[in-house]
Amino acid sequence: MFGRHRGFSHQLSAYIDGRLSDREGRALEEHLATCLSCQRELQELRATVEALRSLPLAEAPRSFALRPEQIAPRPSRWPAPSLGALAIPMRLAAASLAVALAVLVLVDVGDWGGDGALTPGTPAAERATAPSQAQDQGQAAQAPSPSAEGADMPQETQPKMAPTPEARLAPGQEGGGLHPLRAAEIGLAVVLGTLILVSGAVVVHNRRAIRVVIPPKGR
Amino acid sequence: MQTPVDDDELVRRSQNGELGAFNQLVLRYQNHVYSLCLRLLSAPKAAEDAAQDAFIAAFRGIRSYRGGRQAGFRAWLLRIAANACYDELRRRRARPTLSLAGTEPDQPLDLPARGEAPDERVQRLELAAHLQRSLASLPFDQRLAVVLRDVQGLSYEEIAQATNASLGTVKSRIARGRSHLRRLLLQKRELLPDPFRRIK
Repeated sequence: MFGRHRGFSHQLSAYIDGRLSDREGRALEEHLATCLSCQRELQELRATVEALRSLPLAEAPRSFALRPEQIAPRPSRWPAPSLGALAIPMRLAAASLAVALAVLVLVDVGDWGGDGALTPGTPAAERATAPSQAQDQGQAAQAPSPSAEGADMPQETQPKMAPTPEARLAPGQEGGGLHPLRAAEIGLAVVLGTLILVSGAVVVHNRRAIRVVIPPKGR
Repeated sequence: MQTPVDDDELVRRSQNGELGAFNQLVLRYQNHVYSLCLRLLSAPKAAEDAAQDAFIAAFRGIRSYRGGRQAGFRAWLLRIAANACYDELRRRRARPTLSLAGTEPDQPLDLPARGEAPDERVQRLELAAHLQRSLASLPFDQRLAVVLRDVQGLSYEEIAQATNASLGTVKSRIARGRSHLRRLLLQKRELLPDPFRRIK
């Protein structure tokens, strides 16, 4: 009962402003018809609102119209023109770095992902040709050969194709040091991130330097 | 007679950097902005500083104004003014020598009404001073919501835009603020308008 009364009491302010739904309004009015406490609170709230509305809009003590010097771009440690000139070269550099990073990542994924994991030092071009070489050698074994061991040649090449677990690279097992490719990726990512942040700061700075048109005198 | 230019046109020209157009908006709304600052800060000098800061910030940020579906330029401007007041309060809290309390005389914040008898004026000013003290005791968000609603006359939708809050939050802040003020006003029941003095 008390909780329900409290709920109605909280609705009185919205009721004064006509912000209750029809259903809420009807329920509140039914409650008000029997609740003297809510009736009194509603009257007091109305008096409060009336008193607040009696406060006049204060008149500004002076004109707040802006003068050109008040809205001049704020002084900056870096002058705006030089930053503006830097924006395009920085964007170009960032784009180039992003492309370089993407290429490196692609090469990296090609190297270390899946079954084709090769030894770290194997150049990419060499690795790409390795399976075809093995095939060629296998075909050669079927052809007449001076040596009967020719048939075993694909097996001999297998260690190159599927290295031993020790030779297989796993994250953090790169044999005592960061792989050069990973180091290059991390380096590029750091430089790229810094460049993007600086470019963002330049863009924000340039936007703040709003162009001001001062009206001619006598207008 | 020249037709007054509407807000949207002045805003568009201001967005192109035309200071004269922006200053027409300043003159149109400076009483609203100053009045809000005065009610929020209770100190004329601080309110003046906050109002000026608000107009400078509004000019710098006017390109970000996109117009409102339900609320317009006034609500956007009052939001900036409220932020300027909040900054002013924080600045003064951080530097106690600038504190609002006690640095400015408790001046009447109202203008005399026409045809008002002297004793009525005294009573009205007393009520205004008591209301101002009561408002100052509210938490900032409730004070802002109540002033925007009951002094500035904004709709709930405009207040939601001006305070970046949901309608439910606005409704709740107004209700709690009014409820708190009601309790404070009842301590000075004799200052209330005549029909309300008899509430027992």
